[in-house]
Amino acid sequence: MKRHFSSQPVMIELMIVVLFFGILTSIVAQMLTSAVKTSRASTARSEALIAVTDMVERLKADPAEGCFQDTVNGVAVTAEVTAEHSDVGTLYTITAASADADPVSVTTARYIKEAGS
Amino acid sequence: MNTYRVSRPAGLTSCGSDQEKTMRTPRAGRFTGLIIFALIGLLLAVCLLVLTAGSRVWNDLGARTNQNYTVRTVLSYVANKVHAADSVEVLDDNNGVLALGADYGGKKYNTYIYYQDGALLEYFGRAELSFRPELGQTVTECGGFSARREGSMIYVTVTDAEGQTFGMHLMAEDGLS
Repeated sequence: MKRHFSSQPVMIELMIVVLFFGILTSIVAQMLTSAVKTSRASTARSEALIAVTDMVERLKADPAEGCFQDTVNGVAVTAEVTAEHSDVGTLYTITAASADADPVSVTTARYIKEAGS
Repeated sequence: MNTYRVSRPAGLTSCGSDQEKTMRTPRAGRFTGLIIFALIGLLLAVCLLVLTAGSRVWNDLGARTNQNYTVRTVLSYVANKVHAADSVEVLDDNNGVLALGADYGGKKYNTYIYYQDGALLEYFGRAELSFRPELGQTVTECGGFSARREGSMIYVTVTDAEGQTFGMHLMAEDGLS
């Protein structure tokens, strides 16, 4: 009796392997996408922090009460400066934050003595 | 002896004669072989795709991490040094070298921060001694660094390994000297 090679089991095994690799690929693709998103978010936060710090430094050098807006290194930054006056000086509190979905905020203070005190 | 005739259920067809089977097998085998090769090819293509995408993402992540590290490290380091200094000076004639003065025990010392040969360097010495760039110690590697005066502030820029430049204003606590 002549026997013929049956390719059906090989096909089924291969299809299982392809399916398995397909599932693995989709998992790896999701992980890679997640890693890229996290990396981009990290870079954006780093740039936002630099921009916010720049704004804070500028306001600290020459403080004045009020709200301010500026774009630093392509990042929109808003800041608010409040002042507490006393007989001997003024305490300026500066809060700056990046104007994006995941804002970075920095708060600092500067005390300036009144002249002659 | 009773004989039973089994009738074929509705919907089922004959598998054909042995002769027909023998004639159909080579063509079907070729077709199946092609599908098997196609599946193996698909498998290899997917593996290649995953490897290529993975390596690209890996490189991208490395570059971004390096960029974040370099820029933030340099800017934080310089900002802290400037804030802590008693006096700040920018040596404009020397490619924007930052000269930060400090008094220790009544003696004046200078810290020079500058860029040379792909790295940010720091040289610390007595104020009366001349600045010798070749004696500086490496702080971190970066693509570039510069400092310049902007009114009452200092504007420092850092360039990462990819060539992207970031700038930041810094206020000297006691003003520029």
